[in-house]
Amino acid sequence: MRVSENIIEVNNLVKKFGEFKAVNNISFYVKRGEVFGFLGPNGAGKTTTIKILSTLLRPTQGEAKIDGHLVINDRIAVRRSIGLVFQESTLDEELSALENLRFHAEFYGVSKKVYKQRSAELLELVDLSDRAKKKVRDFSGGMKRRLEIVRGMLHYPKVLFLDEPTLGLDPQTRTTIWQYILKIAKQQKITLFMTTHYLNEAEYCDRIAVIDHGQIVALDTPAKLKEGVGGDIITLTSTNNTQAKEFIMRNFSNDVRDEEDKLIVIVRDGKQIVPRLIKECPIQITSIELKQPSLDDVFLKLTGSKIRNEEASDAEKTKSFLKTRGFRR
Amino acid sequence: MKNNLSLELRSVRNIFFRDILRFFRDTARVIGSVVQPIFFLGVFGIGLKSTLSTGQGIGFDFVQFMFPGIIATTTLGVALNTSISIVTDREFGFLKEILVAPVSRVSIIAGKILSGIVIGLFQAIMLIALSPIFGLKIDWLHIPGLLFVAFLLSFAVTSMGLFIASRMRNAEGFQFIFQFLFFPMMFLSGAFFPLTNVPTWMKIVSNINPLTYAVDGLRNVVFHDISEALRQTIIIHSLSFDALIIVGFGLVMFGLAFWSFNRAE
Repeated sequence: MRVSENIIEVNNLVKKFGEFKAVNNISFYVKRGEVFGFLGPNGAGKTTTIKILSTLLRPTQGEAKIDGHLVINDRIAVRRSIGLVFQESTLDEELSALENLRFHAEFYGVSKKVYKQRSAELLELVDLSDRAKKKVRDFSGGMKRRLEIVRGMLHYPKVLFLDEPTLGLDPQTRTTIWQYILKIAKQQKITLFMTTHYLNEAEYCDRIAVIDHGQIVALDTPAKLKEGVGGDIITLTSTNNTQAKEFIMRNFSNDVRDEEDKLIVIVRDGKQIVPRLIKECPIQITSIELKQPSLDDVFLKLTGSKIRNEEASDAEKTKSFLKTRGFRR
Repeated sequence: MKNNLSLELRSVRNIFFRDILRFFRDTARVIGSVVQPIFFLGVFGIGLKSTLSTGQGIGFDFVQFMFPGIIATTTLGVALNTSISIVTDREFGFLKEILVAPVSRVSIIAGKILSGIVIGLFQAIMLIALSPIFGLKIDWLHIPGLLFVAFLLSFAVTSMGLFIASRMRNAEGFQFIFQFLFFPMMFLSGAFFPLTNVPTWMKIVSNINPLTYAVDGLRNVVFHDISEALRQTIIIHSLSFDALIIVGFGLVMFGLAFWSFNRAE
């Protein structure tokens, strides 16, 4: 078989649930060894896409290939090439950490010798060695996540799908977990395909597809995406915003807009503009802030709305907790 | 191709080992599987026996009459329980780990059925081992026959449970089905009273109840040397006919379970 440079190829993929198009005609590819991310709010179609790529869901139209295998026809070959870390826990809580890993190794044909060596290594790497023989039921959320991630990597998949792998964890644990993921992936040359709505996590990606309402609205490196915003962002307040806006538009930048009682100005080379602005502006500036564009600004520019911020996701945390506990209604 | 086959077989074993491990680790379940039949045989059986024996003689030992019914219903219970685990696995997310594994659904179902059969047989063996306590005279030669029927029943019931579990989305629904399946199947199987002299509606219902044939099959084994007249009051079909029905039912359920699991969700 021809070994393609692209480990994932997706062409005109559509998934409809009734009349609702969860995934609306998306096409993209992922290169071998790349860290690729889907960034978008909940319900944008991220999980649906992962489910299709991992053979759990059939697409309505279009085709997708993983390592040259079609996800519709060649399901077992596709499943052999991938590892998955889902949003919610998929561990057997009545088994120990090692027993969970062994169950996984058996399914993927990992030999006993290799399993023993790898599981010891991986558990060491995520600081779970001393818990290896303890039941998962007594693990903390962060420990479960770590175990789940190393389990997904135990058979050294060609692609590891991570669907919001750090949902509901505190920021510190999130950072540590990402360090582990990136380290192992680099060591084993595993391609990472992740979805997230945490913007700082998207920064780990080589390339990001911004997805909204089932469509890819932009796809590029994080740096390029931010460049697309058009420059640095100055946020200011003044005694008279209308007149200040007029002045700035005449002298500094065409890209000025009102946001509540603030003015948002996008300029090239913000560091030089800010002192001049304060000095030259005839209207008194009462506060001023300069920042580099973040992925949130990218998202805002592309879709006209903000990605739901992290505070708001607390409600979801509860929801996902209740769901895994079986309180679904 | 050979490689694939060994991977599939390894997966069957994998599923099987996990279920066995979980069964024997769940002390409450193991103890329950022993205590419940003791309760049935000891209290129910002996209690009814003394009531019945105050009237005219019935010609056979009532505990001995109950025994096949107890084997059949407890086997039904544990085998159904083994397949329930799929619903709890779904509830706790673990089923996804199984469904994305690079193995065919047949291996997964086969592994589940294997564990259902082994746990079912374990239950039957426990009962046979305990039977002398209740004054039951079990002929050594009956044991292979009893285990044979228990084996067929476990296969059929696990397949049925898997089919039902594959259609269920949460464990509450399963409880409901369990209540509406287990109890009617148990009481309308002839486990506790002979079906030879009951109203027609009950006869019809019990005829479509697979457990009836298991109870009847087991009774064929236990009462293989009684007089023809007595035989007609407690036994309905021949052992081979009973076995055939159970196997047929099991195969249909196996097919349905396979079909149901094989559809992408």
